[in-house]
Amino acid sequence: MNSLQALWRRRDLVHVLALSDVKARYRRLGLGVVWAAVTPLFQGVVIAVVFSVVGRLSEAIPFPFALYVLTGVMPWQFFVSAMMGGTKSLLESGSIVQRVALPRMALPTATVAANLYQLGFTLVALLAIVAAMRFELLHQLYLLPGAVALLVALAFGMALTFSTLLVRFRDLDPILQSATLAWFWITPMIYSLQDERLREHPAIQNLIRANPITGLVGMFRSAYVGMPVDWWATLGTVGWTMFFLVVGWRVFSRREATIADFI
Amino acid sequence: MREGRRLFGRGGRGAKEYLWALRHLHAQVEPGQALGVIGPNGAGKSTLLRVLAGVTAPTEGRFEVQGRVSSLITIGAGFRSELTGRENIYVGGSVLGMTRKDIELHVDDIVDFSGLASSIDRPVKHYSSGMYMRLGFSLAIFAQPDVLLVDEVLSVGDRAFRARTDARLKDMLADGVTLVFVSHAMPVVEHLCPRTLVLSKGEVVFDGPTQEGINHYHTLLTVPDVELGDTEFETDMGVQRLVGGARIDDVRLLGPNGEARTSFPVDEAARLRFEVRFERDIAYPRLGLSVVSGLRVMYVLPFPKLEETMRAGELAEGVVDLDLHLGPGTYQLLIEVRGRDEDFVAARHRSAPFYVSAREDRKGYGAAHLNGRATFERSVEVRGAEA
Repeated sequence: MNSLQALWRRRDLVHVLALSDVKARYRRLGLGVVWAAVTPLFQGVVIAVVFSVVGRLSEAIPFPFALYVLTGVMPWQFFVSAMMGGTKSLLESGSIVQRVALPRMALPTATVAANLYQLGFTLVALLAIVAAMRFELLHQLYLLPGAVALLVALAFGMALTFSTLLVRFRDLDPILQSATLAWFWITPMIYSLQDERLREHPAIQNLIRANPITGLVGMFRSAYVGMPVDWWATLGTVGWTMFFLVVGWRVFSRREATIADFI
Repeated sequence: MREGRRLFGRGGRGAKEYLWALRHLHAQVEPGQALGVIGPNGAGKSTLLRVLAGVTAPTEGRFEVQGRVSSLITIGAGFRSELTGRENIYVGGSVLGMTRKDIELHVDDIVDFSGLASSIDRPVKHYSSGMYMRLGFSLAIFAQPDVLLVDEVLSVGDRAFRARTDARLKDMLADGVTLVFVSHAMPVVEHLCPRTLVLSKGEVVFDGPTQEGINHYHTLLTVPDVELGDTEFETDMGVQRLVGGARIDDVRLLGPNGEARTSFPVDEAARLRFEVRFERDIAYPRLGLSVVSGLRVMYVLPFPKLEETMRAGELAEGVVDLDLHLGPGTYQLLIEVRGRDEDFVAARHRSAPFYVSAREDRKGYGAAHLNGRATFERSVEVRGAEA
């Protein structure tokens, strides 16, 4: 647990790095941090519009389809950007890794933290939208902190696992890019796991169930639109998260000493 | 320290060969001491700094550093081009291990020292590279290190900035900061560090007084003594041809008492001796001799000529006397032998490197040492008789 202590001692550094990340990203934008909320929402709205026209799902759920999509897309976007950003953080901060002795874990941590800032804006924006459309859907909002914690922990665990590996095996980047693309479609973002057409394809259905993001998306929907909690899916996500945190921690700690030689 | 390096090429098939970048090094540096580290390229100097900075873990052996290390190899580490100089002081300072409080306490000093007060609130991407370096440098100096690792970067900035740096480093040494200074700039090493390590091929070959270390360093450079293998090379006069036919051997630099030397104080007399062995008949061979510093020709000697034909197997001796009115620095001798048709029959570039060291009784600096003596006094002026 030495590296945890080292990381805690340098929390100032994590804070400053994350903040500089955010500042650098929004500094030159006229609307600044407003974009942090607008871009993910906009993407969600586009998907919702398209699939409410061509899909058949909209009738099956008791609340606006747009909310269904947004509550799925929002955690997904954070997940991809935090996990991919954290994975690349060691390579992209190569100059720091090669020249300064600091707990390397501070780098993926700072990247995930910077993405958390953006997530905060979308969470609030979505809250406002749901409140404006159907206030009564928010009766399970107390689940939100748990959902966010699990989401961040999963993204962090995977970033830890992959970041040191990427330093050695650069092919991991395109592999992960392709994997997330497929991953989007096996996550019930624009369809429901209960859709009867899925029942005819048990393999696909199992894949979707095994997907850790399925449980996460479910939790966000429970919190935002009052869907019943699927405890088994949640438990699965917790399991995956623990797995990646432990593996990530071990992989990172073991490889940390030598990564500077390979950047 | 072992650096993994996969060799490319046929038959490599995953076979890895390792190169020891640094090995068998034992040294201890006390607080307030300044240690110079010199050596040819690839000697392991930068690896040493990286190990001391804690960036690279040694494959075997151990090192111990007491206190906080700040290294000037880290200039600008963590800087973000979109952010202003002031914001980057916070980012870079945190990267170097300063707490927010430390930074707030020193931010004005850092800005003052860097001399960038007027542009500190502009994004650093608009900085010139000199400004960028000055900011990073000032930050590293104020990171309150117990051990300061300095790479080549001391030549940053204008003269005023360098003077400030010099004064600040001396203050830090007096306060007990330990300095490890890696450089090729011998005059600066000599100026800052009483003790020097000489590294060669990853091992310590000398550890002791800097002056002797520099001498030792130059003997290292003498060993490989580049002889031109190419048959054509470019000079100021265009492409020259090396046709071969003679060999320049046994190049020796001697001090005033005939002893072998590679280091001379400013103004000292040096003597160069060498042999030219002829491998075929060469008519009226002529010597070309120059003193160079890097790519710069400092002095070209008059061309001595043999007014006869040298036969194959015969030997000629060259003796050159020089008064070294040169500024402190590293120099090399360039020796060439030409035949009557102006083609080179032998050439030895970067031969006999030597070092000219500063002298207390010879003030002044520059490329040449002209023994200047200047006076500057109030003139006793007799005004016109107004009264």
